[in-house]
Amino acid sequence: MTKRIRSKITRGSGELAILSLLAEQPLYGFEIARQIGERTGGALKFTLASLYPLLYEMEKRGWVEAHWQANQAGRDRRYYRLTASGRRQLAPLRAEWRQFFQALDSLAGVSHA
Amino acid sequence: MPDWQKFIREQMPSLSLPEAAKDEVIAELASHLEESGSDAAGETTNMNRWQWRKISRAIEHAKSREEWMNNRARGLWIPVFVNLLLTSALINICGAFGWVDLRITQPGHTPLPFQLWVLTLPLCGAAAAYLARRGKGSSRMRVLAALAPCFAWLATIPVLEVILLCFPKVFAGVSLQDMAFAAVGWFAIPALALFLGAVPFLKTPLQQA
Repeated sequence: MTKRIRSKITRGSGELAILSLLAEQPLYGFEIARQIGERTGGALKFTLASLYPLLYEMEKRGWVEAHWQANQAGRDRRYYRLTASGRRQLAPLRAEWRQFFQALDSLAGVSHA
Repeated sequence: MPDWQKFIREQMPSLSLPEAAKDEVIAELASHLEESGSDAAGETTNMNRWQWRKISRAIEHAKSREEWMNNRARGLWIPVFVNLLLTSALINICGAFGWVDLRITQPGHTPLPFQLWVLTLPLCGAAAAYLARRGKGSSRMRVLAALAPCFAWLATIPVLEVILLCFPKVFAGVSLQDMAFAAVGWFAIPALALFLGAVPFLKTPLQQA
């Protein structure tokens, strides 16, 4: 697999993971990375280097919006919230990935591996 | 606890963003490192200069408005410009054939709400919506691009109102009713014609869905 294709898959899966999480509730960067790692059993792992460029890109596209909010300890966190445009992206992205896995499954039987 | 903001600022000296945006990015990354355990923070502190430069570039690219502006230009402004150009050209051509009624300044003349040149407008609306779709403009942008000329014409009506008030002698025969007719003739009917032309291009093609 070329680096370019792999990068596109990683990026696409990251977008879907973040949009799906934010569809549940607004979260800040660290918590997004933590929840994705925890809920995928560590299969998807976001680092500082991979998470924030993606979040900023999604913010630029208008899929998410962010605001600063202090927690009870007075620590400022930048919370991300899904916008209406981001919510509209979620359904086609899910369908695209479902189709991708079905295609891969029919070819390589990955879901029964 | 280390001063993470200072640490990140030192690692990303080449981060080229407006000062406020840069401060915000540094504050956010520092807040992330503060929350990370020592292992995760350790991974980050061990990154070499090349890796930090790569993050800086990725963040600059993600924050850059250039791409957004390009998309905006391709999806909206270029189609709007082409549409204005096309409708202006067609209105002049139709004017030469006498299909446009511009005689609003003539005393006692009521402009017709429907004029023959309106029949050319679906073509302009279609061209604008097609270009906006090709430029990856949203459905709303395609409609805006298609309807742009009639917004321009609508904007001229209040200007005419002001001229009418300033030069009552020149526009003696033009009543408010004439202006209302003009608004229908230069906005409502053209808007409908332009929109009809745009309709086939409002749906996203299957391969882009």
